[in-house]
Amino acid sequence: MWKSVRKLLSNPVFILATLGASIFFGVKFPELSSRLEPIGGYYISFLKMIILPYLFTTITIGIASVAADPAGARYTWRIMVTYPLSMIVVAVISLGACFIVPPAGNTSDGPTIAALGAIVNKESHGGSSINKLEVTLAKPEVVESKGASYPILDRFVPSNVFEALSQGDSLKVVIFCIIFGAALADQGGSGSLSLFANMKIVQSACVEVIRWLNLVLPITLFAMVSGQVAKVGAGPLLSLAPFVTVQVLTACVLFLIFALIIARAARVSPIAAVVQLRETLILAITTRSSFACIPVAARELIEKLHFNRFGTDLVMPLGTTICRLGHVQYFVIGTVFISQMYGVELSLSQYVLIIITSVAAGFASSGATGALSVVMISIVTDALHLPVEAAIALFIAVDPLIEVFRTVVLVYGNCALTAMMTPLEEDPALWANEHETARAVS
Amino acid sequence: MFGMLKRTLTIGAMLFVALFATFTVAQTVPDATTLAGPPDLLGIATRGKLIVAMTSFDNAPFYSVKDGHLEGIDVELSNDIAEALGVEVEFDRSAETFNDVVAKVKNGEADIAVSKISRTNSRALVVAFSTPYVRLKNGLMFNRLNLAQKSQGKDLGDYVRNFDGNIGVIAKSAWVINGQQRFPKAKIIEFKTWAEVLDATISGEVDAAYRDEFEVRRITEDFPETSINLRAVTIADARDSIAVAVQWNAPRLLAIVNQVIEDRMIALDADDVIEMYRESIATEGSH
Repeated sequence: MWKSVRKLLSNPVFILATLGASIFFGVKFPELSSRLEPIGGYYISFLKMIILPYLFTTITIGIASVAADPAGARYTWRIMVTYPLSMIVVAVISLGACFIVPPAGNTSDGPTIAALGAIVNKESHGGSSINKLEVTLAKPEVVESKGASYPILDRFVPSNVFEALSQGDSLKVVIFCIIFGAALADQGGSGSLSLFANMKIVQSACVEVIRWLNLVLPITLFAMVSGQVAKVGAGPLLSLAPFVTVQVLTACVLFLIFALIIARAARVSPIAAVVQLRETLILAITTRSSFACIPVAARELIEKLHFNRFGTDLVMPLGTTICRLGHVQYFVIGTVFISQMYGVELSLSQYVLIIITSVAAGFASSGATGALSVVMISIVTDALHLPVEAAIALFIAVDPLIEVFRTVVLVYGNCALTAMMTPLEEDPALWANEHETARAVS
Repeated sequence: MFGMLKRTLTIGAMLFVALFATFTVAQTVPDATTLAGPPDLLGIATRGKLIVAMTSFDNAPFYSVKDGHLEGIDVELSNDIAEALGVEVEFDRSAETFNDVVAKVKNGEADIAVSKISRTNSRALVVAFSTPYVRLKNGLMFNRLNLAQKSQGKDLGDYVRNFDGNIGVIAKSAWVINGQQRFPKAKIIEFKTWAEVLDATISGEVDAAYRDEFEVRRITEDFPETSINLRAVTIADARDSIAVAVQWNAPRLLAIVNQVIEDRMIALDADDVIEMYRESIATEGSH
């Protein structure tokens, strides 16, 4: 009985049907759907609860193994070359898409610009400070800054790892893990080995919790998706149709490229490269949290596509944190949209600047989610001296939809990067979950 | 008549001085004048109506014609003042500009001006101003693109304090002098109407439009599409006080106007006025 329920809950057809039903429900009964949304929120909270311990153990073990293993050095090099390079490639593809479909297509039309203005007005009436600003002519008293003087580096440098953990600041946790893992590899003796073994147990326990949570996904999926659908107004989507179209089309193109990369590396068909990673994709679509997808993606890459566990456990979590492919795409298209909306002609050097600063903003957005990552576009627009506040109000209005694509590109893209960097595991005994293998042996 | 009365009084007073101590004189003089009524109110009382100057154009929610009759904050205030005086109110709407409205009072063509008039030093030289009944902060409406390109990522507060671009204002309004005083490095460009100021700001011909917070915030209420191109910045420590202008030599009338303002109205701010404006627009839309 339990087994058949379990089978049904993880059946892709069943999940797709739930997905369709929840979209329908969200469109048909937006009010009821938005009341269901908190249920999805609790689910995401549960997932996040287990992500930090998982990341902590996985990345520390990963880095320590790389540092201890002479062959590990090649991962360091691959990561340092592949991450920036892949972000540049994504930026170039996104820019190319902007040439094919101009993201600000019809915004100079009277009715469209009036509708867009109304969105900006609505956002600023909502109490956000994006469009309201008060200054004084008298010089304000200088507020002493608290030491840190490079705001962009503030996000990267941890001062207290427990504070970072308690605030869920995953980027700082990851940086701590890298340093700590490297130091751990240097500590010889049996003591460090047993610490490794213990951490591996913690890690697999985390994976187990995530497995349980995955079982109730179809139930919460309904609440999450219908709530999200209810949030997207048709009005903003129509007014920003060209922008949304470019974002979605680019995401689809990138998705295809990623699928082909995974298929080639895993020696399976492109369809299998999508189907075998279905749990990851469904989780990315429903939770829109890239971090929540890391453990499931790593498990699917290892167990279903048979990538080497050691490489996957290292590259997948690290990449999802710092190699923000989805965000780079978003920033490039968003910036071109802003320049077109304000009628600013961009020179070749400015296009190059967009690519470089978008990659930089991608790194800077590490760990940022939702509206915060939308605001990160100001890193790019500031460099080009473009006005960004009105555009951010517009972007936030359509973000409930765009965020889904951004997360999918980020997560699936990092699956592709992992596939590129990690060899296949030849030994079938290592394909299955270590935990289950251990259970089977005993 | 006034002169003759004064002369008689002076003679009388001199006789009193001869007989009594000087303080008794001080008591007798006002008593004698009250009998005839304060001279600045006599004209209004004999006429039976208070002439209130207002610009020829409407200015909701301060004054605007709706369903054939005039209404708004300024109209209510004028009615209250007339009621306190016990006379009818008559609106003189022949003035084309705010300065012309002030000139009407200065020249004695109107008793008072209630027409969203800003208190300024130069106006205070020729007319007397009441206690403000509306206090508004100053507002700048920036062209977003110009702002982003010229501020180059500098702190916006610093940029506004040392603003050295072009500021568009309504010609012959208080904002010309306000602009020169508050933004000494900026170039003040005058336009005939507010609509022309806005067009120049949207096209980027000037970097910012300068007026009070209410007018600046009203732009995006009236024309939502402008919020893509324009960005409002409120200046907290530069205030615009809206007051009633009274003839300089009418102290009793001024006292009554002040009394009405202090007794019946709480000084309104931009949020109140915007709220009233939205309501007035909404009722207009329903017709």
